[in-house]
Amino acid sequence: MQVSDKKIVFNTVFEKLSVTIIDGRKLEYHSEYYEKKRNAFNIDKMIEGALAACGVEFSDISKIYVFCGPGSFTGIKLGLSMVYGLLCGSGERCVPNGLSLLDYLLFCGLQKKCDRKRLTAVIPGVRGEYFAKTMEPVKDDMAASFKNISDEFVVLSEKMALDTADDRYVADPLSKAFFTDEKLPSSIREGALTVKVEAEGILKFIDFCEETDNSRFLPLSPIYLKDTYAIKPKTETC
Amino acid sequence: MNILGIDTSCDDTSVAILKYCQISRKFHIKANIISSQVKAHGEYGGIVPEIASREHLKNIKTVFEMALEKAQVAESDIDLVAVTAGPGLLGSLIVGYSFAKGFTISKKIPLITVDHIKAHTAANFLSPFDINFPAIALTISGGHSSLSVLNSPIDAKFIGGTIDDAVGELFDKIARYLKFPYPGGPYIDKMSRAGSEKYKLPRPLINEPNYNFSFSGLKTAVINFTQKNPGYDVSDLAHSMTAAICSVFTKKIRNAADEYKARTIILSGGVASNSMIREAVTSLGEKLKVFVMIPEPVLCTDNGVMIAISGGLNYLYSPDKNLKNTDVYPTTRW
Repeated sequence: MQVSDKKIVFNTVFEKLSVTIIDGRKLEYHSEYYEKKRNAFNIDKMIEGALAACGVEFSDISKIYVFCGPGSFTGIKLGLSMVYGLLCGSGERCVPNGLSLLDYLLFCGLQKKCDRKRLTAVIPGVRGEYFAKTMEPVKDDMAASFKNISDEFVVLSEKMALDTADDRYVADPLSKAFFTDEKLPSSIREGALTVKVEAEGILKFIDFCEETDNSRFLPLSPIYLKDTYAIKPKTETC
Repeated sequence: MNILGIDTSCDDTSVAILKYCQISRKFHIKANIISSQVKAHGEYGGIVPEIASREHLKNIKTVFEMALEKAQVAESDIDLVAVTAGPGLLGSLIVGYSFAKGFTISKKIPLITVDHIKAHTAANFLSPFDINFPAIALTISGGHSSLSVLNSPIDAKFIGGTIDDAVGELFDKIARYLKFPYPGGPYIDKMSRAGSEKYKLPRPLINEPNYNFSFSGLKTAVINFTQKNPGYDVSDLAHSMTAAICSVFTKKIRNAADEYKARTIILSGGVASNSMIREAVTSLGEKLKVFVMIPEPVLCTDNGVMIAISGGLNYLYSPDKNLKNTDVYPTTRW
């Protein structure tokens, strides 16, 4: 019996949704969707559309990859609960893997340019903060570069401007808050590398994780990095 | 037919598995698992939406697995999935909805999205007795106080509701004001059992010729009363407040029962666990000689059972199997 090697990858955590189907090491399908409001709600239709376009059913999929964050809290929860549902419906037959969007940005950024001592990937939060991760690249050695990475952290513009002005930044081109942040020196913003979540990047990143560094695969747990924005103090009045 | 019911509309992660028997046309509970978040929200004195949704995400898979184990079924035995799509907290609804959607995509089975308020009423379809229509249904919870007329299992007409605070909201706010432990509703119920109707409190909109409610004024009246009468007895106050609520509810139900020639009165929702309200509605039914149905307290609070029943009824009774409802995305209002 031939074992299926079809994989589905989806991203709901930042701005643009994407669903990718990979067969072995070959890209079979990729779609993207962007809408200002309630963006993430379309992921179910995108998954169904992707399966239909490839003429497969979910039972043909052997692995699921999902971005667990950091990014939109709603997007993180939506993506992970969708994966939990898919797994439970398949009797846990599929192998799930979590991914960090910051790892992806660093991976693709490093492929574009490696001219500074440090590379910093950023994803803007909604209150002026950034979710970030830094890497000290080793020339022509992606695996070694990924050994020199920090944990994910939250940082404000002022601190970024002070501590990391010499870094090469990597951000998604839809990170408007980053590219228009006047608290950051223009050299940071203008010199930043832009990396999209797109078919080719996903294909290479999954391949790298599977073949070279599977410590990039994460458990299916949300990467929020921050508590809720909306906790109000306990009041004694009505 | 095995139906999976999922509710994550507020602060309880609930998953139930029911079997619908085609011959007896009755639902049977095989599993009803509820994971409460009371501890997570306790320190804030109320529900924090983001915490609620994160807790749902943390719990949903485990609660589902517990339900399968309790029901002694495999995921492959599930034939239909019903999930709350609203009204509720958006972030919380998204978790249950997405889980359900993922499950149905994976298994290629139908998904029915359910109105949480109508589902509260549906919990009464577990009763061994058939519901005689038309029925007057009062649904009272932390977010809703609504009166409807049911002409069939899936035909509910809204005739009135609260114009400000829901009755459960009143209980919660007064409990917080009186520094009762969270959640306040059950504590007020306990206190009121030990008191009597010693204080006269207003009965808002009781004589208005409609089926609307208003509890914001009653809340203010209770607060003003405590400020003017510092030596008040807490039990008597709890009893007097609940008695005022009971008077309004029974008057409106009586009017509706007369107007719509009701053959059944249905009480449901989390606040239907309140013992004084249960007794008042039961007593009204006896006076009117109309059959009263109230689910047992565990089925009054949010649960997956009522969602499974509501979804099951929609699926079974709608000519188009109500599959159009699968297009309803999570919404704070239905």
